[in-house]
Amino acid sequence: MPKVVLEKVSKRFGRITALDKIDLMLDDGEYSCILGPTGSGKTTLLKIIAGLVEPDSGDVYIDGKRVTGTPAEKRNAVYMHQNYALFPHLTVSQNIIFGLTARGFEEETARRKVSEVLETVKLGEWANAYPRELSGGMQQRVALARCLATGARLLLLDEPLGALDARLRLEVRRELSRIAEELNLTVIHVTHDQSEALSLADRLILMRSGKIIQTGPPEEVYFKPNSVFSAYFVGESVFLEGVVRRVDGRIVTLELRNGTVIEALSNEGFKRGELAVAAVRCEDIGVGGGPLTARLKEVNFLGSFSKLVFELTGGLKITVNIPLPRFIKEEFRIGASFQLSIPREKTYLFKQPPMGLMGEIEAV
Amino acid sequence: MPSVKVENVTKKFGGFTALDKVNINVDDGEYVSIIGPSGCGKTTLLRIIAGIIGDYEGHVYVDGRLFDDKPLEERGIGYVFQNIALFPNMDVGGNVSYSPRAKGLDNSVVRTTTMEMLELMKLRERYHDFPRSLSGGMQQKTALARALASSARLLLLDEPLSLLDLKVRTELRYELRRIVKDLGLTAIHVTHDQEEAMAISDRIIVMRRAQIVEDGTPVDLYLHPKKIFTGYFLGESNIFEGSVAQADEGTALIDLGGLVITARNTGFQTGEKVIVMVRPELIEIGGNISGRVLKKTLEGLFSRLILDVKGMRIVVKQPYSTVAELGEGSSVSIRLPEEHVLVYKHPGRDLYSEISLY
Repeated sequence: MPKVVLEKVSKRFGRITALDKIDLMLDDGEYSCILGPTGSGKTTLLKIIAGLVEPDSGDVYIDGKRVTGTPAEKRNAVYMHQNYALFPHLTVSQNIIFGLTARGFEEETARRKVSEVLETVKLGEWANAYPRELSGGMQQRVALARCLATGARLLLLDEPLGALDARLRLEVRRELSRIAEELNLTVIHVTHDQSEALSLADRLILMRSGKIIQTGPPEEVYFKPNSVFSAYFVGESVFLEGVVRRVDGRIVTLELRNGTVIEALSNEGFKRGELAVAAVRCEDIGVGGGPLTARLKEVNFLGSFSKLVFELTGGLKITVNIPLPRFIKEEFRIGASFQLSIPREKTYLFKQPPMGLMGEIEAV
Repeated sequence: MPSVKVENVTKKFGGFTALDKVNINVDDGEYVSIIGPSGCGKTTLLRIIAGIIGDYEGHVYVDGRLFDDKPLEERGIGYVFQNIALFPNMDVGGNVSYSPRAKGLDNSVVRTTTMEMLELMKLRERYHDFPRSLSGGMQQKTALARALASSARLLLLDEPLSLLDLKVRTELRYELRRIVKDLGLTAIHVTHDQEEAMAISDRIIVMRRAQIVEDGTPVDLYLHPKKIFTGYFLGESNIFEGSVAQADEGTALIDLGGLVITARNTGFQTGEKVIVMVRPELIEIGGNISGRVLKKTLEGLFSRLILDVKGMRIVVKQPYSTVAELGEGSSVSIRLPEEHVLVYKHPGRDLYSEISLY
């Protein structure tokens, strides 16, 4: 039985359409990440599921029950705000008890729940500590424990890691994944961080301007982007604009602005003379032994991989990500000439977006 | 020509020591990042250099001149605050052109400089907007444009990109570095984002608990950190406790509790307790250590595998194409190349307190 269903949900704030006829179906026990740029409508969507915002039209179902109009506390769902706040004058356990009694739990029941959820978030020894004695990551786990204690099976998390340092974010991310799995929770997690979404989600929901652009398992969205925007926002790609010069079965030949010719595979029915945009993942471009001559302009070391910027004739720039082991072994000297290849089986080809490539990307 | 020297600076707020005998040197034209967990003192250090915080022990020199008593406005420093602090009563153009105008520069120069910086930050259309009508990210870009337009030769940047969407942030950091280098400025950039620091800096200073842990180029700190904390904080590492099972000339066998691996011996004795660090992406697939995949996730160009090896958890990152066939439960064999196994003297304390962020 699907746990969360949205049917044609729309919401406007004044002149702005925050959500535009959203349809969505999420399974029981699924960990979904809603990913998108600022202003794409992801928080509004989450708040509508939580019951904190009512849609203008459309319906929300949780566990097969229509909950549109049902108050938030009666939805068997709990919403964790981006700026979760613990009460500074209450201890960890008092913070959790307060959250429960405010929801109408008996104090006795609340007390019993506390030790249970503190074990889950591995803070059993900190029950009597005050928030100021805890690190940012631990406070975050207390806020999570407070949500878990309500017994709600649907956890709605709005940028839950946004307030944490980058390093800590990685650790709490792994914790979150463990807890969701252990308790078999259904989680909907809003983020603008694609690596967070990729590593946590069973299902990724990519949004933009109030619409869902693509949804599916992370691997599917990553390896089969359905649009220029999807290839741009999830993972890193190089985008190449050009004119279709030849179509031979699935093989489409594209001439780029600088005269370079590349090939891609597509079933989308491209026609000769048509404008198109090719996208290639920055890690899929071959360096050494390829038909394209390029000069290395920049080397940016990023630890586990390095970002190399090459320039083709006509000033066309191509960024290639090289994993650390190869970066250590080979010499990448700025100014040196390299041969690049763009493998056609890894090149995604899209129709030219109506607002042009930059319009499609910069509207972010 | 701005170089910066911080000499033995200690700063206390009541009973709390924010900086504890801190020394740093930044060369003219250098782009330096200061990274560390929140509360480590990095912002305090930046504010002391700027002259916003006084009443400290030690000295601050800019270009060899003592700055301790120099008023803020005479320091010639461009400062970008974490909380932005734009002039609320001025539009974007007014904010960015404020400093060149205040310096009495020619109108046409003021205008060119302002437009140039707005262009760089893609804010031209926002010229007449007031800060309150801008998103946090746009306000941050305005603050950066204002600092760059100020013709200050020394830029102090406190989390200057933190409010931007991730995609914009990663693009703007290269722009920022390019502008600083093109204009020949010196920049000190505080961030908690290690990737940002590696991408943007000539040199990184790592701080923790009011002290400098170590400094070095991004490559040196990432590949050969002198301190365990640096290896832990910068990127991801496998960290194990172990002991030297056999120390020979050149190599050492290290027992990680059942699993014995080979490392280069840099002066360890048999029986000595050690800490071992290996980067997940430097572990190779195919070798004589066998394990089982517990979990596999896609993280951009890498697949991240958590392996169970004799009850130990080892994280391995490989380009997704090389591990496409592996799934959860698959058997796999790996190799830890000895040149990438870093061995440290055991600090005596427990490992957690050694790498704890706070």
